[in-house]
Amino acid sequence: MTATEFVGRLRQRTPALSNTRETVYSVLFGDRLGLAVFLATVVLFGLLWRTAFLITDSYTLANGLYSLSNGQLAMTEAAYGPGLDTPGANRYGGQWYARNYGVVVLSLPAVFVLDLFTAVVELRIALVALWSLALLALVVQCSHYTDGDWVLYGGTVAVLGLFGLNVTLAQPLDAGRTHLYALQLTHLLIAAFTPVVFYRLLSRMHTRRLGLLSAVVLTAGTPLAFWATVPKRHAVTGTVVVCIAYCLYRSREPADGAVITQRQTFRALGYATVGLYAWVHAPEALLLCVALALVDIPTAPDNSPRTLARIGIVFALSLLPFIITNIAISGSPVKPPRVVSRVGSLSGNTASGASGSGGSVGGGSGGSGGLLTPLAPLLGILESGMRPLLLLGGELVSGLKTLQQQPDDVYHAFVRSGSASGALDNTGEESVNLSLLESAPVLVAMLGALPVVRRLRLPSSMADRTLSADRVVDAFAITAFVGVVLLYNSRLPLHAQVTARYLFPLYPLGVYLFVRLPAVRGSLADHWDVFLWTVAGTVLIGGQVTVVFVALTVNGIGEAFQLHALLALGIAIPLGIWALCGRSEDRAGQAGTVLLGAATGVATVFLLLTTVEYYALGDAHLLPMMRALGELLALY
Amino acid sequence: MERTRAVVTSVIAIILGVTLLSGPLVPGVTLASEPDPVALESGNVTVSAIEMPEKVTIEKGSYGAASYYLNVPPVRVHFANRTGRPTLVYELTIEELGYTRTTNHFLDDSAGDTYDLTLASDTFTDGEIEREQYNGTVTVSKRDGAGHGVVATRNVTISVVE
Repeated sequence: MTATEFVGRLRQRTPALSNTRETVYSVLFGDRLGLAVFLATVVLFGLLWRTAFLITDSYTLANGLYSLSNGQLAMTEAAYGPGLDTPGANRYGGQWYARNYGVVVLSLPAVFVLDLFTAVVELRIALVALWSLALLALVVQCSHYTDGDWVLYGGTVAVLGLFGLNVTLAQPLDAGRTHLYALQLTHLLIAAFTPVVFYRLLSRMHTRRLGLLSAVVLTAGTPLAFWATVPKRHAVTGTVVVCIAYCLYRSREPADGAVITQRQTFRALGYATVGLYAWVHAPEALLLCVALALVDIPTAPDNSPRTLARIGIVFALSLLPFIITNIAISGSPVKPPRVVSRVGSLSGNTASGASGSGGSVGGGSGGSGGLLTPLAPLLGILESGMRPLLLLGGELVSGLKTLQQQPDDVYHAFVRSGSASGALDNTGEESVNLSLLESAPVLVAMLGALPVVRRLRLPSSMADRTLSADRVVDAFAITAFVGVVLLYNSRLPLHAQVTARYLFPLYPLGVYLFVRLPAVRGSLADHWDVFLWTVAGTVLIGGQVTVVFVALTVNGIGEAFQLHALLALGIAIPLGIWALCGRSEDRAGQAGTVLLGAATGVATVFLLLTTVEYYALGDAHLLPMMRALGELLALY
Repeated sequence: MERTRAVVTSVIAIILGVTLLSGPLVPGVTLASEPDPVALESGNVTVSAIEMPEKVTIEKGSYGAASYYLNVPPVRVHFANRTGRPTLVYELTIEELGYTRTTNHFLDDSAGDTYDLTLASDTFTDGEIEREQYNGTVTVSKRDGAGHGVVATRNVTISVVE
């Protein structure tokens, strides 16, 4: 079947959507508002994009992509960084291999496009032009929602002005580092779908307005934009988690889509997302797979062998790239490059703590005794399949033990980082690793679950196990949330986290969980304008006050981070109290919305100052105007 | 509708056109240029008056941050004469800690008649700071077309603020 035939058939099947553009539109973004969310996010991420390495782990990915774009799977040359022995690189059979091969392969087209740009135009101007076109597209989309053409005309003038400003200030971009830019571009685009899919999920569950507001909370109130252009798994994990939740929701609702006409397909797609994510980070994919299966299978209306077999086949197919890469590197289908050299260390980017309980579980393999010798090959396969699960179990148990045995560490990782030794940087001098709550104070609104749980009445019988679509997603979000907490609990607090990046999936999951609370949802929907004004006010006015405070009282990055941390906790406390009250009527709802907006804004201010000033990475901003701003601003 | 479409199309055309201009397809046009290399330590600077700091502190990190932060007030320098791109160097030495910190300031025409010379902050771990007071020396020196020379030097007492 050729492409044209395929499109033709697609058109026949979906008479409502008569052209492919509309189809692509609805498949990717859902509706016009979804596209606007995507464009706004891309524009924001572009503003904060710095064309430099934030974290040494990214060297591994850049070198992996460099070798792969030259047709080599093994890393041949350290085009980036001090050498091939960078964090996350692994040696196998005398050669170095990278990791996260899923995103490395996905970045290949971007390398070719960027190399093409370099041949024809100046790369800096080309990327500035792309950003300006994204902004222009956003202006055009927004103008559809306003009466009159003033948004369009004003917007186009602004786009032209900004483009001119950027071109005037432009300095050449090093064209020899396209692998880094390609990785950053891929991660940026993947990350931009987190709020898009989040919007689509919540606009289907509730209203489009609530979907949009939730996307704002997620993008502005959590460190998503900080990690969007960092070649690490975090931004990808966030998108994957939200995509699974979306697929799960659609798999329980009547199919009304343009392309997918059966809801079972969505169920399979959820598992396929997990399978593909294994290609990026296998241990987290395993955790998400377990969480998905635990929630999906017991609550599904149809678990006939045929359905399960279909899902199993799709899942197996989605695992193929992961398995093929593993076989090519280590010779074993389930051994990803990450765990080649350290048997038993399930996850973690650093060796610290990784050889804990996981190792002891893994050590017990190969014990098929004399009597079972004929069955040994079969047991071997079974064992190699079970081992990752046992390792995961071990990690989760040790996470649970940490809760009991090291409550101080848990407090420093989730509530207040301060001068805790685990929260310091590598030199042990600067307190630059914030806790989860300090990074995203809005998450405290999850406390609102307590009054809801208290009022909750369990169903009188467990006979009806099939849950409604939104309940299924709730259950998945809670399971995945707990799973991620337990998986990383024993390692945190840790250096080089900045905003508790290991816990990154908790940001979208947490925002989802508190937006679903009736009190939060009701307040946001009733006072949406108050919310948006508070966010804008906090960023524009509060941001300036913060800048003055930093300039006057702060002597270094550690103090600056802790100032932001205290501001975040300062707003988290009243928000937490409001959430515990759980009221959304009249004044209470208004107050809650103001607090939600302020908490979102405080996180945005931190995000902006971190990317412009604290981690400006040598003022390596992609956009010349942001570089100029970074150079102007010298706060300590 | 026609007009809005025309506006958007022309903006896209301008952006794409300028982008094409930047490349090798149109030789002779450079849109993104490296900043000009500047001849540092050139010209001449004469200091007429200088206000050296009296109080240097090492303060326990505020807002609950770990470590101690070095806090040195700026030196105010009044120029009798300043041309070209001279360099002023601000240096603090604490011999008891075996510690030296220098910050170079590359002056240009935007500097004006008076200039606040700052010393970039630094951190000390809790283990490094053992006493309540240290003796140190602050030095301001210049590097210009005429060569290198010390402008002023002063002994200071550095107090540790918990």
